Amino acid sequence: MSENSFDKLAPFIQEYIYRNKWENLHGFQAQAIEAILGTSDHILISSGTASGKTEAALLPVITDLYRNPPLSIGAMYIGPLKALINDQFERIVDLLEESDIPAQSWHGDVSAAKKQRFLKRARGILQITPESLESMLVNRQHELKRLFFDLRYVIIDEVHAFIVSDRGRQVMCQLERLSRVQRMPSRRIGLSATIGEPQLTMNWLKGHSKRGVKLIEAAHRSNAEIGLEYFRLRQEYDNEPDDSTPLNAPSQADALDALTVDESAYYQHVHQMTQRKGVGKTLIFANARQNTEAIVMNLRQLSERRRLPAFYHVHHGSISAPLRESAEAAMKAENQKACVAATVTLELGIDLGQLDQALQINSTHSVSSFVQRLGRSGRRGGPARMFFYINQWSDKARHLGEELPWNLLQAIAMIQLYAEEKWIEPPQIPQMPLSLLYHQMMSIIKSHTELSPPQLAERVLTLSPFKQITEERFRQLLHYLLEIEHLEQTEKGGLIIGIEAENIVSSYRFYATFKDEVEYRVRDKSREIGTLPAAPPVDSAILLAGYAWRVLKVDEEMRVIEVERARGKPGTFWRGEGPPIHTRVLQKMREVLLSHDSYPYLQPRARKRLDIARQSARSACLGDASIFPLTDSQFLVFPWRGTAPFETQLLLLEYAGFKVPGSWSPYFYVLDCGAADMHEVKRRLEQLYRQPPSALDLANRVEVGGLRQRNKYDVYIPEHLLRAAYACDFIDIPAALRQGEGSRAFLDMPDALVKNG
Amino acid sequence: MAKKLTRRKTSRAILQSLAGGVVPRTGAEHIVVGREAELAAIKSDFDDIGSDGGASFRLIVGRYGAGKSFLLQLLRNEAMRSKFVVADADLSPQRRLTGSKGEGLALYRELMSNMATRTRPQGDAFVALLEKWISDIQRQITKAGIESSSSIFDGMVAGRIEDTVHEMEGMVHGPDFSTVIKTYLRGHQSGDDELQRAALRWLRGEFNTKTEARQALGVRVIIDDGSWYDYIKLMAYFVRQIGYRGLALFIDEAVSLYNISNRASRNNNYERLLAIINDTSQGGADYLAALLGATPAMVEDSRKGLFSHEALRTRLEESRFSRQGLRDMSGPLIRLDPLGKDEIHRLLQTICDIHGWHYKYEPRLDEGQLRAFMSEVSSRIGADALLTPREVLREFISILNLLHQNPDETFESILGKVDFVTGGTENHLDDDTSPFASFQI
Repeated sequence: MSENSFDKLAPFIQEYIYRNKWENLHGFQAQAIEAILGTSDHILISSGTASGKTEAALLPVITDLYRNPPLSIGAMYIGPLKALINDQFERIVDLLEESDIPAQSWHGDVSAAKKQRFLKRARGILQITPESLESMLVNRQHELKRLFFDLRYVIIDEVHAFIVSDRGRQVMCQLERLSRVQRMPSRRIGLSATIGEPQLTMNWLKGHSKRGVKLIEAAHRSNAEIGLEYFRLRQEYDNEPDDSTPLNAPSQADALDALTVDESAYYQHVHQMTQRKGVGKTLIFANARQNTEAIVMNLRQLSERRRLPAFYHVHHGSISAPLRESAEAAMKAENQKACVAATVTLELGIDLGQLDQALQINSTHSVSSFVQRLGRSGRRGGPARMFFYINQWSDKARHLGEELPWNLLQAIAMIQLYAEEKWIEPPQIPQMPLSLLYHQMMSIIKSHTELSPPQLAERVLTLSPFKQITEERFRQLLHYLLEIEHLEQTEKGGLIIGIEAENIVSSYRFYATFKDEVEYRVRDKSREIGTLPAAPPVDSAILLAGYAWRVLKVDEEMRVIEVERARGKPGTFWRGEGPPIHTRVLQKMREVLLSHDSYPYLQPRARKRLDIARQSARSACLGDASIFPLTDSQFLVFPWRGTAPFETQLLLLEYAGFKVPGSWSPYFYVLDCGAADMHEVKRRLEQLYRQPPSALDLANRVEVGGLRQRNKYDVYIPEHLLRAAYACDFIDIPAALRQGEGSRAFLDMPDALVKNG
Repeated sequence: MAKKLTRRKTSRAILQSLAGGVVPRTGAEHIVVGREAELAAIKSDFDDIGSDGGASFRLIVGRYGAGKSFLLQLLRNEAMRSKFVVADADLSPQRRLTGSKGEGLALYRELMSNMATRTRPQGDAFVALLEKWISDIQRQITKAGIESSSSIFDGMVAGRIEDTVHEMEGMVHGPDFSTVIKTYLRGHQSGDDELQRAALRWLRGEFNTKTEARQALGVRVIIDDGSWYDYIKLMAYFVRQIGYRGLALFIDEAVSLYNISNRASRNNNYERLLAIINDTSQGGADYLAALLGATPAMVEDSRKGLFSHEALRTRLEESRFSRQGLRDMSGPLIRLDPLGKDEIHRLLQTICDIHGWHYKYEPRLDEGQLRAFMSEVSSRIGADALLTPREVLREFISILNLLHQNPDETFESILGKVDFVTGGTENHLDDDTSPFASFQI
């Protein structure tokens, strides 16, 4: 440790560090102290979970507040979760008491009396969620100056989680709104786990402010123990009349059959992993709530049957707070086994104490999420320990696209991208965050009751997330909102909340920019098949649990989708929107598939499955082409591109008059040329290159219902603006058309047709 | 009809206010045109209260620019002349009839600090009113032959005061009110400024906690959001007891209640308004005249206006015969039609005369020129709906000023050079240099 930086801390903090026998300040903590006390820049601190980021920021901040007491609340800590807020300050509670700097956590579970007391004094540190801060901005407009006049520091935790969401942009708006009542704009201290392209995060942190941004990075933890196993799960009701010719060579089919097991075998494997000797705490990450429930139910049953301890808990957004807290408590309790299955709620850095291993069910959607989860596992100071389970249903594959183990390839690609290059997705920052625009505009009007159009424009359009929103578009939005009576114009021309929006802005739900998570249960008569995060249109076909289903009825109230098995070959599948996957990941998946590399973390079944996939790829010559004839007019296409260029390709093809009867975004699609002959196909494709349509032309072809479901308030945005936003933030024509490694699909297509012909 | 001017102070106030686009606080009576029926009706309210007691409620309804604020100001002056204590306030997001964050109390405080009498027309008259009352009593007792140095003098003053406030003890919150008034007197007699100040603070609604109030004054309650209106009624009764004819409230910008976006709190305010209407019309209040300025939308909007509230609707709705032309001035609703062309013309003529009188010159504008100005203004500012007396007068006075300062110019040449500004004076940006200053929808 640098003696120098230690000496800069207030004396009582130095004593506190000695007394608690912290052997050392980490290098990055010393740097943070220097940067916070020695410069006036914003600071971005990036290091692993539970490595002491919070202390790195708080110790110097408390030192400054102690030496130069501010005239209002002096520092604000913004965290994404109530639990995180409660947790982060527990460790330094004594320290704060000693300094006589009050700290108050502020969210729905905190009593009004405590809040009142803190507000009255308006000193010290406020710990708050973005939603509670929004409520404060809306309802305490006239107290803001007194409360935040001299706010010096804003500490934003989990910046990497905020930056990719409307919620993070909401925080940025809030800080900029607050700066209107401050005597000087606050310094921002971002705390982040590993970040891809730190410069983007630094720009984000800077917003419209005039300060510089200083990056402080902790050394990466080098050790990680990773394992990955694959299970091909037997379909429960595999009594389909088999009218298709088998795709695989007999030897391959046998090999695949040999890998196929009952679901119970998979659960037994997970069960053993959690019951192993020497393993105390296990965290299971699943991508959907339903999966966490299913796993915990099965693990409990297995324990009961074998008379083993059942220490399993579920933790996700729909679980009540007491149950979540008891899960957290179980994880923190020393010397006892515990296992929690969670969705994203535990990805963020709640300190669960010593964690022995993380189990990941199926691939994560991003490298960033993988790295984040990896960071949660392993004992402090020891290696990270993470084990992947990749599951695939044993349904009949009609072609190579349906056969390839995409999830397996994706998991390997993500691990390799991080292991080889430390690559992480750069955050995507939309230019037209319309849902947020609606939200912030309504919030600002509500807080002032009435604003004239120039006042409103000045307060809204100067916020940094809206810098690409033109006055003209803003005006169009206002006109639309006046029309649907979300706004109303007073006689003097001022804008107030309209009658149709009264209930929206008065509800506590208004403060959040994210949708209340919903899940639809999918049922075939009385049998439950699975869940979906959004409702597909009636009559469309969906893929679930390895089968195609036709949607019969959607019960919005009960959140139930009734389906029946889709006979024959369904047309276009409904493309529900998962989180977008980056092009780099798809390219890496291709590389994994075509190479001969072996990966030490693959367990026998996974290694075997990868071998089979590689054989299939080789015999199909997947290295040389990415388009394969299926019938006289249908082709299977592997674009090897991320979600945005993949979807753009589909739109381009449909624009050129082709049909896309099936797709699995972003892995493959089926192209139908209809009656067009080779010359016609060639002509249409060349036309696409010579005179590509505009992004807006393509956006105009998208179903508006889908556009309105993307973000919470999109439903109140006029259609043409939604399309414009989709065009500029999601459609990527150059990336869809560009030729690249393994992505020659477009111009190669006529040649493939020739071969076929 | 407009009165003759006698003081240049008044004419200056009139010209300056109008040039700034605001209603003059004094001298409104010099420039009034039309409104004879409305004025007569409300004056008779004042007279009734003066002679028979009772209370009245009037909702002055007119579009933006129709002259609500002007009429309220005019009536306020009239009420002061008729020996009323007056109190005025504009409603706003922070000042409502009731609210969860002390908005009702904030209105009460504003009314108290704007309390005015004929001798103190600018406001803050409450202390003066108390002091005058006490000194009047003292004078009467002295007249009756008891020296102020006499040992029974203070006791007799206290006795008179007791007589005055005694009657109020039967009213809601009356005992506390009278205790505090008596405490004020005690402070007065013993020279305890601290005690006097505490009593005043209490009466103005400035105590935040009951504990504080008990320590300072020995009363167990404070004036708060729920009770402020009861104290207004007490105040009305009190000022009557001490020699005024009553209390007249002038509450403008009631439209801000209509603009509340939370249905529950909007309805709470409507409930409070209903309580006031009921009190004033059914004998629940005495010596109180309440006048509110509102807009037609606020009244008629059946989804969120006053008419969305069934009880308010039945109280306020006029008979079917009374719209336009045939007007019944006995109902609580007084609708102001915008000034007609002739009336504006008369107004311009009046302003022209005042300007001439003030700057001591013979007005040079003839009928034709006034008409030319009118048509120029309406063609440039545009839609009739935006053409309010406020804007017309502001432009007109600036032309009169230019004409007066540049004797070489003619009316026609100046008219050609002036830029008219649209829009009201309110709602301007804090910062006119903002790049969004011209953002319109």
